[in-house]
Parts: sequence; C-alpha cells; structure tokens
Amino acid sequence: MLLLAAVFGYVYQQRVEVDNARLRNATSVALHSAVLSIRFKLKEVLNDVRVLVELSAGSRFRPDSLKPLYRSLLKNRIGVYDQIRLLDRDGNELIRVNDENGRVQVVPDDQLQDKSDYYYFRQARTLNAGEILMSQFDLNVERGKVEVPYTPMLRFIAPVYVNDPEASGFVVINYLGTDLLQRIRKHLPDYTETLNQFWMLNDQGYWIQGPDPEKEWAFMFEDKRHLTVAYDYPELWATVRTAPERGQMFLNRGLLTYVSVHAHRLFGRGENIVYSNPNERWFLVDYLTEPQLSLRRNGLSGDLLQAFIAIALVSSLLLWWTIRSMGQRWLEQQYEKLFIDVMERIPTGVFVLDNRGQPFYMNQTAAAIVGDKLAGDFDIDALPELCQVYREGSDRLYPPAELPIVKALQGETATAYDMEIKRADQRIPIQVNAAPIKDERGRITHAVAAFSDISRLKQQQARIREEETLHRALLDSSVDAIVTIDERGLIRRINPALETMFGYNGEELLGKNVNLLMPEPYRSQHDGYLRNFLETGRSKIIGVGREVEVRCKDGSLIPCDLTITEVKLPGKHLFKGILRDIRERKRIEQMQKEFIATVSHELRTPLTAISGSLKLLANELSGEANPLANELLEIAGTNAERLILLVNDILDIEKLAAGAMKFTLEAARLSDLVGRTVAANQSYAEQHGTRFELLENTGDADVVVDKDRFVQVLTNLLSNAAKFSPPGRPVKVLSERDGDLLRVTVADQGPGIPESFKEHLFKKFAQAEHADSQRKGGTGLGLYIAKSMIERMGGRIDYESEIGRGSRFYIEIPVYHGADAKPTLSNAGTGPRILVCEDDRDVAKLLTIMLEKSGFRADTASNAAELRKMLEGQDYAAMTLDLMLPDMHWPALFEELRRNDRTRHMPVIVVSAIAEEAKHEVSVGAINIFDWLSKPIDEHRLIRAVSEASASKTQSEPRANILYLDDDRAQARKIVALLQHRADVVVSRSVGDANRLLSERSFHLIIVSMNLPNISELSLHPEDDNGLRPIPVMVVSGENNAQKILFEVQQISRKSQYNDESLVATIQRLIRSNAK
Amino acid sequence: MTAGGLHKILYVEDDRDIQRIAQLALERIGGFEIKLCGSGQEALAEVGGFAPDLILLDIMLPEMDGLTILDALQRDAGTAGIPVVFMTARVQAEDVAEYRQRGALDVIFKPFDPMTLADRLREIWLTRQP
Repeated sequence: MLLLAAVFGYVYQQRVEVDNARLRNATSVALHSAVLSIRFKLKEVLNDVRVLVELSAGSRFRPDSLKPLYRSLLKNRIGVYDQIRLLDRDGNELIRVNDENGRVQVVPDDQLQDKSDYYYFRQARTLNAGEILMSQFDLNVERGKVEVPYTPMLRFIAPVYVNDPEASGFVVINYLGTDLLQRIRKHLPDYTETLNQFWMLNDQGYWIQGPDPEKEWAFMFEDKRHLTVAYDYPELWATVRTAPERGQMFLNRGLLTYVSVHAHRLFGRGENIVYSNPNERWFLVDYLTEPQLSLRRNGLSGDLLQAFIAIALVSSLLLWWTIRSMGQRWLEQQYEKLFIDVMERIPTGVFVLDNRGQPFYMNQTAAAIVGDKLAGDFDIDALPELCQVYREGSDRLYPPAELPIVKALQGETATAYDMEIKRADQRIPIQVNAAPIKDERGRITHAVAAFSDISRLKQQQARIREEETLHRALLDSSVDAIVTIDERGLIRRINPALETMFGYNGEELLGKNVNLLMPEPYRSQHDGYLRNFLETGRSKIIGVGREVEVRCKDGSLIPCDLTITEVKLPGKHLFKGILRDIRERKRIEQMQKEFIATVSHELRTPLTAISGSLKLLANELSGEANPLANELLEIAGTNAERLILLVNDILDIEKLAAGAMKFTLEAARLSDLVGRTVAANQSYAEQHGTRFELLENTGDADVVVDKDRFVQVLTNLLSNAAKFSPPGRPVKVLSERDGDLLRVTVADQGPGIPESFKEHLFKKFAQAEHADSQRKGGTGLGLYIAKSMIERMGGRIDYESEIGRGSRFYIEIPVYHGADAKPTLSNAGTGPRILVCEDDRDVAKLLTIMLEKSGFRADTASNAAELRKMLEGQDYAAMTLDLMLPDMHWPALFEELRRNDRTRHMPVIVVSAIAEEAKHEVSVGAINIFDWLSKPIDEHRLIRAVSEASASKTQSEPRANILYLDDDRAQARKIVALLQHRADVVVSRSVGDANRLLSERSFHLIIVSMNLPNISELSLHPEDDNGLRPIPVMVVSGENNAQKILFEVQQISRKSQYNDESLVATIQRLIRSNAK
Repeated sequence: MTAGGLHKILYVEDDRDIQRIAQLALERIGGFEIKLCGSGQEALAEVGGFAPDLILLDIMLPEMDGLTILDALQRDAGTAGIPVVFMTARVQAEDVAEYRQRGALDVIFKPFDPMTLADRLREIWLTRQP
C-alpha cells in the first residue's frame, strides 16, 4: 500500500510545464519503476547476505563445510553476483567463489587474498551485529588495480559473530553493477532504436553511464578526477545536485528528465544498512535528444481507441487492488510493474482521487488531456473550471456534482458521454467512466475515472446521423414505396409513398406480416419462401427483381416492379423491398400493343389496294410490248411487297409476344442458308456502298431451324451491318464451328455500340428510342425479332462492340448431328419411351428430334392436363419438363408429381428458360430431377441426361401386370402393397377365377401359392397372347413340393425364405427376363 | 346448296378500292358472279335475293362489323347455311382463332393476291361441311 502510494505519489507530485508533463510522467514512472526494481533486487541481495551470515555462524565458521554452500548460492546467482567471500576478522579471504564466465569457481586456498586494506573492509570492522555495509557503486579492483574490462560493483558486507564480542569474520557479496544497470535499462525505452540516452551519475557528479565511455567511472582514476558531469554540462550539474528528487530540464534543446535515488532511501530503516558513502546517491537520467523529442511531439496524438478499455482498466485496477490486499509480495511486485506499464501506455486517461477528493494518480494520457491543472491541494468542485470541462454543446461548465468521479466517491459507478474539455480553444469531447475503489471492509478509499478523447467517435456519430437523415429524407421523398421487413416477415419500416400508393396508414402495417400486401397465392406462400431463403440462402428474387401485384387496402391490385435487397446487420437480418407502381408503364405497353395492331391494319388496307392494283395491272399489260411500263410496274410491285414485309415485321412482334408464331423446324445446311442470304442481300450492301465478304468453314454441318425465319434473322443482321458501315469498308460474314455450336458472325467496321446502349439493344424500338443521332431507318424492331426468333429455334444471338472499331453480331445455334434431316414421328424408335412436356410446339419438336435420333421414343404433352393424361396411359423412362406450362405453376406441378407414387421417382430433366432460377427454389428430393437444362438446349447434355435417367428408371421397369393366385387374403394384400409402385397386381383366390382372367388378358408374371387346392387345373397356355413366350410362373410355397407342378416354373420359393426386398427383386428379374 | 360448285359470291367491303380489286379478281379472273355490298345492312338486305353460294366478309366495317353480320346470318335460318369466309387485315392469331370459332369457314389475310384469290376461295369451298 505504501509502495503503491509512493509510486502514485512519485508520479503524481510532479508539477511541470504542460508540454512536458506527459513525457516527464512517462520517464519518471519508467525511472521510478527501475528504482523499484533495483530496490527489490538489492533486498534480495541483503537477504542472501543475512542467510550467509546465519549459516556461516551456524557452521561454527568452518570454511570447508561452508564452501559448497557458497558455491551453490553463486551458482544460483550467475550474472548477478561476481563473487561471494568469507573473510576472517583480519581481512584474509577464507572462502572465495568466483563467477568465471558463467562457471562457478572455488578459488584454491593458496590464491586467496588479503583484503584488509580495502576501504570497505576497514569500514566493515566497525559494524555491529545485524548491520550490513553497502559499498560505493564503483569498479572492481584486483590486487590494487582496476579490473579491465571494467566490472562495476556494489559490495555488501556483514560481520559474522560466533559467541564472541568481536566479529569472527565477514561475509562479502559482490553484486554486479551490470545487473543493476540492466535492471534500470529494462524499464526504459529501447534506446538502441531511438535517440534517447540513459545516463547515470553518482553523488559526486561522476558518470557511471554517459555519452562518452571514456569519462565513465572517472573517480576511480587519479588522472580523470576532473571529468565530472560539470566538466561538460555545468548547468546540468548545477540543476541536478540541488534539485529535489526528480526534475526535468532542457539540455541542448533536448529534454532531460531525471530522478535521484538516495541510497539510504532505497531501504527502509529496519534493514540496518550502513553506507560506505553516507551520501551515496544516483542520478538516473533520461535524455531525449532534440530530433527524438520533435519526433515524439509529432507522434503525440491521442489515439482514440475503444472506449471500453476504460472499463477494463477500472476492473483491472480493482483486481490489482484485490490482489494487493492479499498481501502477497511477489504478486504485488509483478502487478505493480505490469500495472504501471499498462497505465502509462494505454490511450485512455486514468485519474485517481483519494477519498478526500485529492489527486492521487494520473497517467500520461490523462495528463495530456487535462493538462497540469490538477495538482496539489484542490477543491473537487473547482475541477470543471480548472480543467475547463463543459457540458457537450453548451457553454455551461459541467456541474461538479454530476462528475462521474464525484459520483464514484459516493460509491456509484458512473459514466458520462456528454463532456467536453476545452483545450486551446478547442472542445474535445470525452467519455468518462468512474468507479469507487473500496477496501476489504467496503469503505471507499479511492475513486478512479477513466476517460478518453472521443472526438473521432463523435465525428463518426455525427456523420452517421447525417447520413441517416439524408437516407431518411430519400426514403420519405421517394416516389417508390419502400418497405423493410425482418426475418419473420414483419414490417419494420415503411415510407410515406407506400402509405399513399396502397392506401394504408403506418399503424396498419408496422409490425404486421408483409404478406398482407400480397394477393393469393403469394400471400400464403411468402412465409415459406422467406424461411426457405433463411435456411438455404437461395432466392430467385433478391437482387433480381420481378413484377408483382400489390394488394391495396381497398382490395384492388396494383402491378409493381419489386426489387428486394438483403440487409445484414449484427443481430439483424432485414430485407428492403422497393415497389414501383408500373400501372402507367403497363398502360403505355398496352397502348403500344394496340397501336401496333391498329397501324398494321391501317397499313394493310391501302397496301392491299396498291399491291392488288399493281398485280392486276401487270396482268392487264402482260401481253403488251411496253418494256418501260413493265419495268415501272415491277419496281412498284417490289416495293409494295417490301412494305408488306415491313408491316409483317411489326406484326411478327405481336405474334412472338403471343407465342403465336409458327416455326417449321427442319434440318438445313448452315452454309447454304448463310450463302444464300449473303447473296440475296449483296445488292442491298452495294446500295450502302459496301459489300459482304463471306468466310465460311462450317462444311456440311446442319442446324434445325425454320429456314425462312433463320434467313430473316440473318438478313436483319446483314442489313444493319450494311447500314452502319462506312462506305468502302466491307462487312465480314464468318460462319464457324465451335464444338457443338455453329456460329455465324456479321462484323462491320461501323461506329460501334455504346456500352450504355447494350441493355436496350435487343429490346423493342431500341433504335428509335435511344439512337436518334445515328438513326438509319428501320423500325427498331429487327433485333428484337431476331433475338426472339433465334431463341425459339434453340439458338442465341449476341454481339461484341468497340466504339470506333465496329460491331460483331453473332448467332449461335447447336449443330444437328442426325444424318436424317426429316424429323420422324414418335413410335419410330424402339428405345426407352420419354415424355416431352413442353408447351412450345417448336421446342417440343426440336426435343423430339433430338431424342429420336438418339434412339428414344418421344411423346409430347403441351400442358399439365395433357401431361397427366399421358402419365396415366403410359409409363415413361424419363420426362423432360418445361417449367412454364400454360395451365399450371411449376411448384404446384412438382407437388403433384411428388404426391403421385407413379411419378415421384420418375427421372425428370428440366428443360426451361428459367431452369437456373428454379433450380434454387426446389427442395432437394422433392421429385427425381436428373438435370436442369436451360434454353438453348445443349443436345449432348440432354441426351446424356435422358440416357442416364432412363437407365436408372429401367432398373425398376417395366410396370408389369401380375396375376397373384392365393387364398390367403393377408398374404395377397401384402403382395399388392409391396408391388404397388412397380406392377399392377390382380389377385385371384381360386384356380377357376384365375383361368378366367388368363383367358381374358395377358400377364407378365403369375405368382402362385402352392397351398391352393386344384392347382394342377390351372390352365396355362405354354405361350402368352402374342404367341411368343411362356408366361413366367413363380411359385411360393410353404412346403417344398413344387415338383408336382405340371407347367413350366421358373422360380420356386418358400414364403419363409423371402423378405420383401428379395421378393421384389426376384419378381423384377422374372419380368425383365421375359421382356428380353 | 347443290354440290354444283361455287358460282355466286356476296362480297362485303367498305373500301371502294379494295372492293374494285376484289371484284376484278373474282369476276374477271375467277369468273364468279359477284354481289358487292358496302355495309352490313346492305349485305343482310341483299343476301336473300342474291342467294350466294358463299359470303366473303370484311371484318372492320363501319357500324356493323363482320362478326355481327356473321351472327345475323347465322340467326336467320335462310342464310345460316351459307359458308362465310372472312377477308381481313386483322390477322392476329387470337382474332383468327375467334373467327373460326364463331363459324367462319376460313380467313384470308389482306393484302391478298388478286391473281390467286379465286383459286383460294375454290379450295376453301371444298373444305365446307355439306
């Protein structure tokens, strides 16, 4: 306690200039802890001396028996003691153990010395029992000469009394000065990396350690006696020698901080120490050179760290206090040191008051923040004024009664976030935590306050508030409705637009499930979707957006674009939905659609008249020899046709949108199509001053397309390229094969397409809306039509473009591998039967073609109703399934397939434009999905998936008709249940009944129980209905009497031999063997 | 309606130019006997007297459109049996489906080719249910 008080006292007593307070404190504490460390070490030495004295006396001063003891002590003090000796009362060495470079040596008796002349021996002779003499801190002298290299030494000598008024001898321990210096250095900064210097002076002003090694220990040498500190730094010596125990001064613009240590103050009175030099005093000096000082000054910025450190500190202080009170000295020392180290290094100010409200301790951070105002006696009520502590954001001084430390003195643990300290016209916001410190009996002894500069925190808070305000303003002023929900789907926040848009007010929505904004079926499904997302992290809407309908308060529905963003915060998982009213857009779209229909009609009417007239006129004139008239008629006719084509184009869009466009798919040689199209359009290119250059290397590769549509698409690309090409720059048309893809590229050297236009390019009226400056005629529909058409033919269209270099549009379409160009109808093959469920007839046809040329039989269903019908009538090895059927949402369809025993395990290959999205929404194992294929269809992948799927299915195939003949009803029920997924089982209980059934229909297998009477009357034809093969018969019997059966039996088994699995396996094997 | 063939056609069309072209196509090229009507009312008034083998109807007509005329014809037992073919510029797939569903024998799109119109009608004529 005293010790601590001393530490705090030491640290605290200082009153110096503001600028240096922190440094001084830091150095003082460092130096002081060094002193503490020395003191503890020296006490250990004293202890060793006493032990030796006691043991030496106890052994009746017999050197031989004492030598091992001396030896072992030194061995434990290697690096600390240089020698341990026992002298007789005349100064002759009786025992001398030396540390010889880390090895303990007991010096032979013949080499022992007479030390009677040494000053410390002479002084020692005057010692009383129990006293210990501490020599000067000087260098070791051997045989009258200073030992080289210098060995700084402190000697401790104590008399040994053995029943004698006179001392029988003396114990001498030579404590190595290097150990002492090291201990000091350990507490100081690592000077090897800095420009700091550590100096040590003795009471005479001689260097023990200094800037010039030559001048160290000068008092040991006759010729150097003048080389004191005063020789070099008279002002330093003048200050230091008269100064109190610590101080600070500038020296050559560097900062010098010192502590003086009086040897007699090192130890308490109880230690009974006599000093060779009664004035023995050491000055420990930390000298911060000028460059280093500026460096430190620059680095003087209070690092705003976590404010919670403060709380940790308070508790560590309490912990330290607790441990201290345990009275364990060792722990005390360790903690003391650690505590001081921590205190001085942390970026949090720590300030301790005693219970009288007087300052007790302050660390350097605290000193840096509050300056040097808190020193000496002071009135706590004056603290706000002294330290200029204000209430945040006001000019009022902080009320003293509300100061956390004042509250802490009253036993409260208090915190304040609203303080500001005024320093040099700047207000520094601080956070203060304070707590009382109590002794064992619960009395408050001190109060500790930890405070930190929270300027950065406050700035951040202000910034966050600003952003929050801005954000809020954005939300509030948004014309889009914004709703935030939590992970349970409950509405946490809405903006005003949402209220007005859908007619609700805030209270009706906040805290409610967001599904109240949704119409059925989404309303009931939403919780499930949300749960699924939270479990799997998969969603097809987050970050993607979609069109939804929002249910208004009055029950009406408003179509909206919904964008959902996931917001993850610590402990919170929110979803923000932005709803944009798209009624207007819808209305415009509808108008546009009607406009197209009307325009197309209105254009057709005059075109009908024009083209009709021209044809009739051409007919009228056909016999006449008027070449000019005929030529003009032809020109008029051709252009009328072109106009009709244009009108058709416009209409194509509507057809595509309605899915009403008819595609006649057939295999065609790509090179023919490309060559023909290029040739047909060459004159168009010439009109634009360019030409098409065809580079073709696809050879005899075929594609399955609607030829006219394909030519239409390619024509569109060619005419675009021609239109946008500068005159004289040819357009390259390249068709090439890339694995299973054929690619036709049309590359122009035109101006290129701006990146910003990319997303509009394939949309309707793209050019008209977005490229006015480059308008080159055309409807702006061409690429939209091209893309739609190419996709319907199983291909894709895209482009690459570089501004100023040109654009490369390309079409990719899968290679058609079949040699047979004409698609064959189903029932053609003999392979596994596959059901193609696809509402687009052309895609269905394409799939059928792909499947059939790989040997499958393919049936098609174009909607869910047909699918159901097909599945009832026929067993399929696998099914390809489009997810966008017109009459059923796919999740419901999956559910239906899953519930049906016959389809639950049927392998399904999803072939759909939304395969990728849907994939993430299906729970695993719902139905047996083998693969997910997007469109355009990758033929190889399709065939592979179907092959694997059908192979897996065939193992449990085919579904058989089985006649089961047994009069044991329980057994019959069991068999039916067992086989229900694989076979239709007809049960018969008598041979007569079975014979009737056998005459009426055919069975794949007959299972007969041997227990049945008249079994030999079973009328089995040796061949089945087709006259091909005998029906396999399986006999199950209780006894092994099957040999009496008159017909062919392929399997005889005892009922008891069967478990369900093996029975099913056997039945399947029999059915299959029959099928082969 | 004997199995004799297609001879008399009642043609309803409000656009005079198209009327004329169709007339030429049907009379001069097809050799049919044509009755031209400019409106639905006129057509319904004339149909009894003219007794056509087939009625060729435009859809977009002022006042009474093609479908309304078709309904009227079907309600009248005397005219219900006369096959009706629409000739229209309204060629949206869903429209066409509706025309057929309402009882049109077929639909010819405008612009039509006057040189082949007659042949086209003869083909359609053959598909009628007796």
